[in-house]
Amino acid sequence: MIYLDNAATANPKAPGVGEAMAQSLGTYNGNPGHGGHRLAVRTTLAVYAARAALAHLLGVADPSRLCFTSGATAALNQAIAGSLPGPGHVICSTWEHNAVLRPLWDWQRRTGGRVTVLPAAGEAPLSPDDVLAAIRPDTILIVLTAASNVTGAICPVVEVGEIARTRGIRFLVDGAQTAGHIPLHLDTLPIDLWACPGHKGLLGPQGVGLLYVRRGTELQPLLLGGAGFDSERQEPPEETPERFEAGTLNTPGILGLGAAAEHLLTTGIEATRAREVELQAAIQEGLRRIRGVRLYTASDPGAGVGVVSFTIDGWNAAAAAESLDRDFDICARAGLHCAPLAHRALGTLPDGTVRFSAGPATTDAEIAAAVEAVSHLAAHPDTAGLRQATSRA
Amino acid sequence: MPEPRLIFPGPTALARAFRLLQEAGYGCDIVAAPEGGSPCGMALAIPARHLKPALAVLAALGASPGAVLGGAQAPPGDAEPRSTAPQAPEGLAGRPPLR
Repeated sequence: MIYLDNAATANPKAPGVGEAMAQSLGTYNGNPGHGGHRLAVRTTLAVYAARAALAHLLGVADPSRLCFTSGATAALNQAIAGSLPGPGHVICSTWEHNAVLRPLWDWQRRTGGRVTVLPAAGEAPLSPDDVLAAIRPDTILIVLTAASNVTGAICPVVEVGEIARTRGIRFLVDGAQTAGHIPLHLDTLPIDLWACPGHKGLLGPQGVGLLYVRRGTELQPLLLGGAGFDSERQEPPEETPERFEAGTLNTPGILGLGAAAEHLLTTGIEATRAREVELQAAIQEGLRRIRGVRLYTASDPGAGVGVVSFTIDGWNAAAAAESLDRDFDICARAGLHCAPLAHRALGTLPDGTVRFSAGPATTDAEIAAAVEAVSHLAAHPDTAGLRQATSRA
Repeated sequence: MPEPRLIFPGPTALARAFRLLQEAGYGCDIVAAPEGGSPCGMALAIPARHLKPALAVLAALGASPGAVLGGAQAPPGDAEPRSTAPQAPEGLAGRPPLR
């Protein structure tokens, strides 16, 4: 199998992840932070070690600023809902995932707040000048994906963050496609809140993610429940991370993610990034040569993460992905990738695109085989499938 | 005389302090907290002679305890940590520096 869907979830996971998860069911099978007996304490320290490794990887001096969540969606929901107690104005981009858009649409409906969606700026994903122009006196929050999960284009997070900081507006970054792909030092970036999943670029298991909360950022917790301490209080703890970690933690996921972080600290994200740019260049170069294939991606491989979206003339995207899977043993993702506004901006509604996303384990031979498969599809249009798609529409 | 107990507001803060003190060379143990004395039911027990310098280490890293039980009776502190190994950033001794 050729796996080119790493933007959905990394495959394979980092070495050591499975073993760490298995250990969590034995050696570390206490309830972390909930109890003072030796097994609970041992597990508490193991969870802390994972948190500390992730903090080191992400450039966070105090690991307590990293909160474990069930994934990026949970982290983004926490960050958005916890930042927006009432109406106001929020700015986001056309490249946002539904994990950002749906909480914002919901907030808009419930409170009468307003959301401004920034357009693409030609070849660039967005213009910082457009951010400046969109700011209103009641702007509370700016949300921006660090890189599009459709085109891979890296957004100007630092520039937008500086704008937000100078105007006292909270800045939330969706790091789903950049965590583990691009070296980060969160403490030095102009970011108040940052969310990511554990199972994509960080090469950890599914079911665990992170929310970085900069010290001093007031945030109302979304999930309330037991913290394992201060139980007589009616309010959740003030302490981070426990304020945002109600209930029992996903210890298997966290220890697995900790092992992945240890792996990335050893291999270095710079090396991963260099390989990603190489693979991105090879995919783009191969696909551009094929007549009938249209690319929707940053033309400079260095300006994007490892995601290439494309369409093939004569093929519906879903049918093309199905054929790649069935006939060529290639796993690729078709459709809208949970980012409908991005596809509206690209003009690829309603069918979306086929997306290739390589990972650290992807080989040059696999890229060559994938390009060859797309070339075969382009030479043999799926006329029957297209007729079906048209009649469904 | 019982060892001083460092009390922290939550388990992560306690685990962080435990790691930082170990890496700084100060021996300490996680113990059940005195009844009603700790919000998370655990405390760090540290030899009395290490109390003052250990508190200085934690304060420098923004990891001070919420309270110290038994510290007032402790003898004067030993100013030197047990280890003179270089200090790694944030609880990760032996790792490469932050990139």
